[in-house]
Amino acid sequence: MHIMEGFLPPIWSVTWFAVSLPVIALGIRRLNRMVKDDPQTKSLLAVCGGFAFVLSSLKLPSVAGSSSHPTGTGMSAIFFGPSITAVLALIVLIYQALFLAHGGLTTLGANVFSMGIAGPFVGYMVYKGCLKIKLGFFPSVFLAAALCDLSTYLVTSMQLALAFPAAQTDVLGSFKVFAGVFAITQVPLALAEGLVTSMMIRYVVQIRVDILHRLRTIAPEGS
Amino acid sequence: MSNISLLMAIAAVVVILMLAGENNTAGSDELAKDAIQEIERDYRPWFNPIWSPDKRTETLLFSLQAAVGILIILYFFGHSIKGK
Repeated sequence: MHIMEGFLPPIWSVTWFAVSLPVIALGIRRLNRMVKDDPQTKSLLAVCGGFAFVLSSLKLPSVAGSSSHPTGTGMSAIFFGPSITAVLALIVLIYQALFLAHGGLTTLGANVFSMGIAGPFVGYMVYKGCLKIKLGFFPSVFLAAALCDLSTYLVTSMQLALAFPAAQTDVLGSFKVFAGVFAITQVPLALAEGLVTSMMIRYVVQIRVDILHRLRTIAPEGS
Repeated sequence: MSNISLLMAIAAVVVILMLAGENNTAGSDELAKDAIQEIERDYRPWFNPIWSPDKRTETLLFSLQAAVGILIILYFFGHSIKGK
């Protein structure tokens, strides 16, 4: 989940903005260059954005009477990597902060970091790593998307723990509390997200595998 | 799996997930807020959302978000298929 408006002390709010803004800037530059060099990637980029929009809008019931949202960033993370995904995540987060009071403007930097940068970074690395050990394309996608989702929430837990260390147990103690709240709820959602992302990517592969070759997401047949 | 059946399966999953969302269970961000208040009893948010929708508007706006996403996806899939 996104950290709610005003629930990060100003010092942390600013810190996370400082961390995220350079990545966003990099993402915008890379995005512009990529679209200029290869205009066909625009469609896939839009589909990834749409996917993030759809998935992060879903409030899904999970275990123990709680609910949460998937992130929808796994697909973009696999195709485009974390910096460009950060830009897509920023768009989603701004929409939700302004119109839904979900997340916040003061927490935008932190939420972009968890949802747009850290989670997708993990997803991207897991995807590449799985391919390297020849796990197979779709299991790799599944794992990458699921872990992207899960690590987004673990990072959110860390952000909250740093801002609100518990009296006796300090940051680590707080982390356990927040991770307990988020991670348990998120596991079934992460698995569902892995599944849906695999299905979507399977569809993209069937209709436009050439874009994936160009993006070097997957190698052409024979390699 | 053929293209059409895959697309329909994805659509079915999304619809099921959207219907599943019609519930009143506590969102995990609410639970996180409770956890924060427990850790630091005196913490008060220093900034409030500029605007907050009521429950019906909120559902509508979430649905709008999903609809926009779906439209974008359909438009570009259609575009891709034509462009082949």
